[in-house]
Amino acid sequence: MARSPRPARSVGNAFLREHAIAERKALMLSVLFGVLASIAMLVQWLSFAFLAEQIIVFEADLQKQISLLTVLALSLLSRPLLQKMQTIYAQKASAHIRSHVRQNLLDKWRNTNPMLLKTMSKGVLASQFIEHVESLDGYYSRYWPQQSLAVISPLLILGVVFYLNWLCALLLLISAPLIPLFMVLVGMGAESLNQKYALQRQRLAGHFLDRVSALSTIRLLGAQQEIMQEVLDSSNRYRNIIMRTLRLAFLSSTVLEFFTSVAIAALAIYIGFSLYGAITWGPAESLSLFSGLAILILAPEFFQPLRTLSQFYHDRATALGAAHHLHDALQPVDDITYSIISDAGLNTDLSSLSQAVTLSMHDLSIGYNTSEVCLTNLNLKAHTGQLVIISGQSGSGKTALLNTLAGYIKPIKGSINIEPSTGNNHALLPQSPWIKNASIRDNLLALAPHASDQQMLDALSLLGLLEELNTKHKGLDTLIGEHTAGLSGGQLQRIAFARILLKPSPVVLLDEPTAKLDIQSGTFVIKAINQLKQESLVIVATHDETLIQQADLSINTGTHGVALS
Amino acid sequence: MKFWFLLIFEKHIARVSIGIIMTWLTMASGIALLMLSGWFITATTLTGIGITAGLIMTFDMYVPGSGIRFFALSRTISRYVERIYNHDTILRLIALFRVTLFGQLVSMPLSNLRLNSDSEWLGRLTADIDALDSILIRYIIPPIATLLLIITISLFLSTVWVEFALYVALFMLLTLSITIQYTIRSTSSSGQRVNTLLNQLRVQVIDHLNGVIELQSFNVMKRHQVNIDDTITQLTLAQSQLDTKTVQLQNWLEWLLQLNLFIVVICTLNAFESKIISGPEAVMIVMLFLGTNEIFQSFITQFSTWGKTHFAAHRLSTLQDPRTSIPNIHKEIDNVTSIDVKIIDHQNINAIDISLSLEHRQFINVIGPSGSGKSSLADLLAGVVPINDKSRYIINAGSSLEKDTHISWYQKIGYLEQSNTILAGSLGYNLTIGISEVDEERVWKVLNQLELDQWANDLPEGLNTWLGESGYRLSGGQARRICLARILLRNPQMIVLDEPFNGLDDNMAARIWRQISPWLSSKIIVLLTHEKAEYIEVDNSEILSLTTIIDNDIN
Repeated sequence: MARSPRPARSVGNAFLREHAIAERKALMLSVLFGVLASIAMLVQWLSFAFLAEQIIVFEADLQKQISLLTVLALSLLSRPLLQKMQTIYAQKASAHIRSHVRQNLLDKWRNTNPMLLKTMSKGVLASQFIEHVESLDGYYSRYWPQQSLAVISPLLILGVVFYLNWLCALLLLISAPLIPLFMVLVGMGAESLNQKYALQRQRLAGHFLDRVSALSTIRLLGAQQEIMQEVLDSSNRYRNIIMRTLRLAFLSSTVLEFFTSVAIAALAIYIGFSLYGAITWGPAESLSLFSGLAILILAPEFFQPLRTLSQFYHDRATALGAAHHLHDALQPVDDITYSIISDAGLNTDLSSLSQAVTLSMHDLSIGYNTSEVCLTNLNLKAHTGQLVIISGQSGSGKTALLNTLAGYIKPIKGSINIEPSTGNNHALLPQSPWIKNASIRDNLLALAPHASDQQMLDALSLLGLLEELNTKHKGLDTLIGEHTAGLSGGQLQRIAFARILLKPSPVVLLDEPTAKLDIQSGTFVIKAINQLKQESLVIVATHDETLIQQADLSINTGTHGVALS
Repeated sequence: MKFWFLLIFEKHIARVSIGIIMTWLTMASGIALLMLSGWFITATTLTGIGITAGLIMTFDMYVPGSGIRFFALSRTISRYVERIYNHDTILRLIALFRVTLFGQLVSMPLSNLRLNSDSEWLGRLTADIDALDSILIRYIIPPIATLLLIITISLFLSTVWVEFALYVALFMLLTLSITIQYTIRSTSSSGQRVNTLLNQLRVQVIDHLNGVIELQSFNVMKRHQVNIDDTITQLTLAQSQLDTKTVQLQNWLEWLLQLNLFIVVICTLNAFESKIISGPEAVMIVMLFLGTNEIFQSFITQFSTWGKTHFAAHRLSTLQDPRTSIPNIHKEIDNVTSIDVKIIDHQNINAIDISLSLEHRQFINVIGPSGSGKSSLADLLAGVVPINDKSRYIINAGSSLEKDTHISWYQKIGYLEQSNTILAGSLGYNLTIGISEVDEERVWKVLNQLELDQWANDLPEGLNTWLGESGYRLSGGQARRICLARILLRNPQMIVLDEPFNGLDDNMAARIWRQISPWLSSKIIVLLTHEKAEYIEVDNSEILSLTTIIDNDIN
C-alpha cells in the first residue's frame, strides 16, 4: 500500500512484512484512526478559512457565527483524540511483535546445537535479542501506519484542493510523486549502508564484551594503551560509517523539505497574484479568500504526512538492518545437525531417570569435521555400573569424543548405540563448567531443578565442600560468578560436579573432573564417581593417574586402542 | 546526569552553540514562511477587492514575494546543515564518552575489575553511552532554540499588537516549561524501570547462552528459560506503561494547543473587528500558531526518554567516581631484585601468618590444596589485590609495594593466573598483545618449547588463526600454554605461576618444565601447585606448604 516502490526484495523486508501481517488488525485500526484524524484536520481548517473570509472580507459579525465556531471547536478537539487512538493501536502491535520475535529466538537457541552456539559471541547474540528486537519498535509503532497515511491523507487533501482550484491541485499532484521517488533513490543507498552499520554495531558489542572480560589480563599484560587505541579507532570508524549513512539519509529528507517549501511559496505567490487580479487565466478568477486561505493552509498539511514519514525513515532503516540479522539468526542451521528428541517438559519428574543401559560404539570415527578426524575405529561395549576412562594427550580428541557421545557432534563414521534409548539424557560436565552469576543454590537448581536444600548440602558434603562453605562463606547463599571472587577453581569445579550428583542420568560424561583438584579433593570426587557408577554408566576424559587406575574400560586416544581392565 | 551536561558544554560549547543557532534559524524560517504567506494572500485579496471597487491602492507585490521565496530556501538549507552538523557533534561526543570510560575502567584498581560480572558491564558501556546522545539532541538543543524562537516571535509581535505579544510570550513560555517538567516527572520512573529490565534481560540471556552445553545435556534448557520469559513479561508491561503515559500527555498537550488556537482565532478576529489589527495581520497570527504548534507538540516525545537517559548516565557516572580510580602518583619501579612479604590473617588464606623472602635467582614452590587460598596468595604476590593493614610487602629491601601499584610493576613481573584468558583475535595477537617489538623468531622458539609449534604450523592460517569465542576448539591445555607463552615472550624479573600445568598431562608438563626452567632460573619465581610435582626439582627449603583445613565431613 505504500506509495514508495519497494526496494529490491530483501530478506529484511520479507521479515518485517511477515510480522506486520500477523498484527494486521491492530495496524489497520491504527491507520483508520489516522485517516479520521486527517478528516478532522480538514474540517478544522476549512471552517477556519470560511470564518476568516466571513469576518474579514464580508465583515460579518463574529458573534453570529455560532454554528461555524462550534464546528471549528469540535474538529479542533477531536483531532488529538483520534491521533491518540492511532498511536495506541500501533504501539500494541509493536509490543506483540517484539515479544513474538524474542520467543522465536529463544526457541531457536533451544533447538541449536550447543557446539555451534558456543562458537558465537554471546554479546552479539544478546545484542540481537535486546537491541535488534527493540529497533523493530519504531518501524511498527511509527513508520508502518504512516506509510498508509502518507498516501491516504494527501489524497484526501488533494481532493479538497481540486474542488477549490484545479491548478493548485495540479501543482501538488506533480510535486507529490517526485518526492518519494527521490527519497527512495537516496534511501536505497542509505539502507545498504545501514546494514553495514548494524553489523558494525554487532561487532562492537562482541568486541567490547571480550575486551572487558579480559580487562584484568589486559592490565597485567600492560596492553592498556594498545587496547585503548583499539577502542578509539573503532569509535572513530563507527562515527565515520554512521556519518556516511546520515549524510545520505538526511539528503533524502532535504529533498522533501525543499519541495515542500517551494510548493508553499509557489502556491502563496500564485494565490496572492490571483486574488490581486494579476492572473486571469485558468481557474484563477474563481479564487476567494476562503479557497485561497484554505489551499495555503492545506499545502503544508499535504506534505506533513510525507515529512513525518521521512522522520521515521531512520526507524525503518535500522529496523531493516536488524530484521536482516534476525532473519539470519532464525534460519535453521545445517552444519552439525542436532535435534532434540525429547525436551523434558516443565513438569516432568526429573529426579529419577536412572535406568540400566548399554552403550556400544561400532567402528566409530569422530572429529569436528571430515577434515579434522580425531579418532578412528573405536569399538566398545559398556554398560551401567562401569567406569570408562578416556585418556590421552592434551588436544588429542578426548573432549571431542565426549561431545560426540553427548550427541553434539555427528560421528564421521560408524555409530553409537544406546540400549534402551535414553532420549537425550547424558549429563555432561565440561572442563570449564558453567557458573551463573547467582548463588550456589541457584547454580545447582539451574541444572537440577528439583533438588531440595538438604539434597544439595548432602552432595556438597560428599565432595568435601560443606565445611568450608558454611564457615567461610554463606553456604548455599554464597554468590559466585564470572570472576569468582570468593572461591577457587577447584571448588567451583566441584560445585558443578554436585549438579551431576543431584540429577544423575543413565549416561554421565565428565571432562577432566579432577583437573584443578589436589589429591584430597580429588579423592572426594573419585569417591563420588564410584558412587555414581552404581546407577549410571560413567565416562570420564582425564589424565589423572588415580582415576585412570579405577577404570573398568579404558580408551587411550594416543593408541586409539580400547583396553579392558 | 549533570556531569554529562557539563562535560558536553565544557568540551564542545562552540559546536553546541552553532547547532542551537542553526536550529533556531530553521524554525524561524519555517514560521516566517507561513506567516508571510498568510499575510500576503489576505493583503492581496483586500487590495484586489479594493481595486475592483474603484479605490486607488498601491501594493508592492514583489517584496513579499521575494521574502516568501527567500524563507523557503533558507528553511531548506538550514535544516540540512543543522542536521548534519548536530549529528556529527553527537558522534564526536559518543566517541569521547567511550574512550573516557574505557580509560577509566582500565585504570581502576585491579581488585575492583575482578568483582563485577562482565555481562553487566557490556550492558552499561554500549547501551548507556548510546543513551547519552539524547542529552544533546533532545534536551539541550530544542528547548534553547525554542526559547530563542519565543523571544523572536514576541519581539516581532510587539510591533503589531503589544498586549497580544505579551500573551503569546507568556503562553508559550508556560507551555514549554510545564510540558518539559511534567513529562520528565511522569515518565522518569517508568523509563528507568524499562532500562533496568532490559539490562536484567541481557544478563540473563548471556548467562543462559553460556550454559547451553550443560543445559542441553541435562535437558533443562526450556525450564531455565522461564526466568527469561518472566523478565520479558515484566518488560512488556513496563514499556506499555511508559507508552501509555506518553500518549496521555501528548493528548493533553494537543488539547491545550488546540484550545489555544481556538482562543487565538476568536481574539484575532475580534481584534480585527475592533480595528486593533488589520485583516492580513489577523491571518498572519493564526498562521504563526499553525507553525509553532508543530514545534511544541514534539516536546513530549523528546523528553519522554529522560528517565532512561538519567538511568544510563547515573550508572556511567559511578565509574567516574575518583575514589575508584588510581591517582597514579606513585613512583615508577625500575626493577624487582628482591621481595620480602609477610601476610597476616588474610581472609581467604588458611594460614594465619605467611612469610616469604626471595631474591633474584630464587625459587619457591607454594603447595596447597584446593581451597587453601593459593590463588588468593598468588593475587597478593602479584600485586593484583592489595594486602591488608597487618601485612607488609617490601620490594628491593627498601620501598613497600603501594596499595595501588604503578603500571611499571606489571612490566617487571609476569603473572599466570589460574584461569585462562583468550581474547577474540588471532593466535599471534593473543601471544603478543602488549609487546611493543615482536620478534617472530622468539615467538616460534617459545611455541616450540611449549610443544605448540607443530600445532600452530598445521593450522590453516597459522598465527593468523582466529581464537576467542569462535576459537572454542582450543583444548584446556592449549589455552593454558598460550597464556604461559605470553609470559615467556616478555622479560619479567619476577614471575608468579598459579597452576601453570593445569590441563596438561604429567609427561608434557615435565618436558615443558625442563625446557623453560633454565630461562626461569635467573628470575624470582613463585610457583603455586596443589601438590608436589615429581618433575620439579626442588629441595625442602624451597617449599612453602599452606596448612589445610580439617573437613569434619570426611568419611
